[in-house]
Amino acid sequence: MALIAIIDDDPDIIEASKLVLKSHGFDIITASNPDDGYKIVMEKNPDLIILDVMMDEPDDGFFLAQKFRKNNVKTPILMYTSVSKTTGYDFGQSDMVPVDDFVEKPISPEELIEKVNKLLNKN
Amino acid sequence: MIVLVPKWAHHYDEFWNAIRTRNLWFIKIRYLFVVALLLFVIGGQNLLGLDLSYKQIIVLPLISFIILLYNIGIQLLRRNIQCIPGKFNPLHLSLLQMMLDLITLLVLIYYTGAIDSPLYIFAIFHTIIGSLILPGFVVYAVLSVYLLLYTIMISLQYLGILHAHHMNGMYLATPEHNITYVLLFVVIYASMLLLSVYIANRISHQLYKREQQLKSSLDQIEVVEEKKQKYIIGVVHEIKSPISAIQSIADLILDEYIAPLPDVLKEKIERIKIRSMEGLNLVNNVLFISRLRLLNLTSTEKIDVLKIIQEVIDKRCSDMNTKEMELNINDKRTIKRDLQADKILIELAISNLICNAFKYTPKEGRVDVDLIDDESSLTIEILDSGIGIPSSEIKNVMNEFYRATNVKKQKYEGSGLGLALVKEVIDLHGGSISIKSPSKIGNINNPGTSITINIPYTTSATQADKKQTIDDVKI
Repeated sequence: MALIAIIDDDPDIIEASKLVLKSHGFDIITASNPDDGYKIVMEKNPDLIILDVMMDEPDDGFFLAQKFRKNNVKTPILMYTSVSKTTGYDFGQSDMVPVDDFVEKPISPEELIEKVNKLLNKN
Repeated sequence: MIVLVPKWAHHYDEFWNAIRTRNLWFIKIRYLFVVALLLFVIGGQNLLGLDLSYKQIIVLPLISFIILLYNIGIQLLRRNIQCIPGKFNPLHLSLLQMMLDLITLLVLIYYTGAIDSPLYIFAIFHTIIGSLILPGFVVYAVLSVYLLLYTIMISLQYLGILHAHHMNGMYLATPEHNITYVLLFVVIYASMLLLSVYIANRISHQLYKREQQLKSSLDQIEVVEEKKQKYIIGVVHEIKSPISAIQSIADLILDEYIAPLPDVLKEKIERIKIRSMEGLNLVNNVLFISRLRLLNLTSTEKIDVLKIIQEVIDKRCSDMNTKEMELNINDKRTIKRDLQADKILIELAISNLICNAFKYTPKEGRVDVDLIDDESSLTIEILDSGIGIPSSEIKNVMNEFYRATNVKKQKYEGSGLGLALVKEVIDLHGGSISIKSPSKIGNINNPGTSITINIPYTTSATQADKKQTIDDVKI
């Protein structure tokens, strides 16, 4: 079964995402800061990375995504954001933000599963 | 090359625009002068009774022709130079024009009577405009050379070395001056010109200074503005994070990921979800309003309003199915045109209005959405058979945080920001909004509300008002 890495500094979000994904049969590894996140991805080579855009610093998620791409990690990245289209601040997909999809928090279980399956099937 | 540009203006578009415009003035006035000079030669002979010499009849039109030639040259040059401080730029062009004009003026003065030529007054024109745009020392230098040449010319004329070309027919007898007149004339002329430079330069200096202060204040405001925006994003993130977590956990419980859930609890947790969603919407709306006011950021694209309405109903208005409502979309447009507007904003306004209609209409009620058009604008009317708005409160519901009394009594959730936001969005697009209650489809128990928004098809005409609208809003 596919292995998914969740990198987020909010333990409740990690737990909620983990429970939902696990019950759908995915294997989960988690990290609560960018450094640990980088480590687990390099060690376990997951099939998908779920990454929160803002951790301690507002751009942590972006920087980590860039770091992955620079180091040739081609794993699809689903980015959690709390500010996006509905709030008028649209990051959009670009070289600056090398992720495969965005999802705005809060995310419903169905939406999460749908996005995850879509990204996993793409590869 | 002398850098004629004040430092602060190096990258200031307004400054360069002003210089370019002034250069264009010069060019246009010069064309007029060419025509005037030719007319003077022709009309002077025939109408004013002047008796111009053979030389003057040849030379004056020749000078007009030379002015015409270099004016065309300058105009071509003006089109092809860029506003780069270190290189030949519009300011150098101004200086070049000034020098060419003053040289030509000297020649003209010589051929129209030297000390007796009335044309000497033209120098004042260049003095003042030159002083407004060029650094003082440059104007003083140019003018000093001009005055020196002028003085030499009239001195030589006085000494009888230079033969002046008087305009016969303008004087009763050939004018003769003694040394006192010549000296006084030169002193008065020179002091008039130099004093004009001094005064014009002082005034323009003060204006530049003020402009400089304004420019730096503007820069500061931009910096602060950016900080503020970042701060707002930060705050919103901080507020949204815990609410998102609450929502996610509530979803887990509701979808029974943790344990089977008795109905009594389910209902309460639904309430947790609804209330926290309300908080989330409030934060989103606050952020949206502040964005609209602080930044003048809107994009215009072609949008299909009917499609947006259908999407909004499918995605955002969950009340419709749970409350078994009747929904009618009546597209009464004669031409199905796209709207030129900001898609995200219009979507937000429409979703606020339609979701409100569903929200404040009891079970098995009815919501109608009518689309009507005229030549230049689109009208969207949203009618419901809901609780309506007390007539005394209609004028207040568009105020921020205002909630009608009947809404509060019946425990509908909401922040009172929705309509304020809608109004802001519609204003920004140059449209209008009106609210009526009761509506056509209401009944005795539920009078219903009808909200009509009117948006022009193209917002280009309202772009100029846009800033005004934003400025008018109290922050």
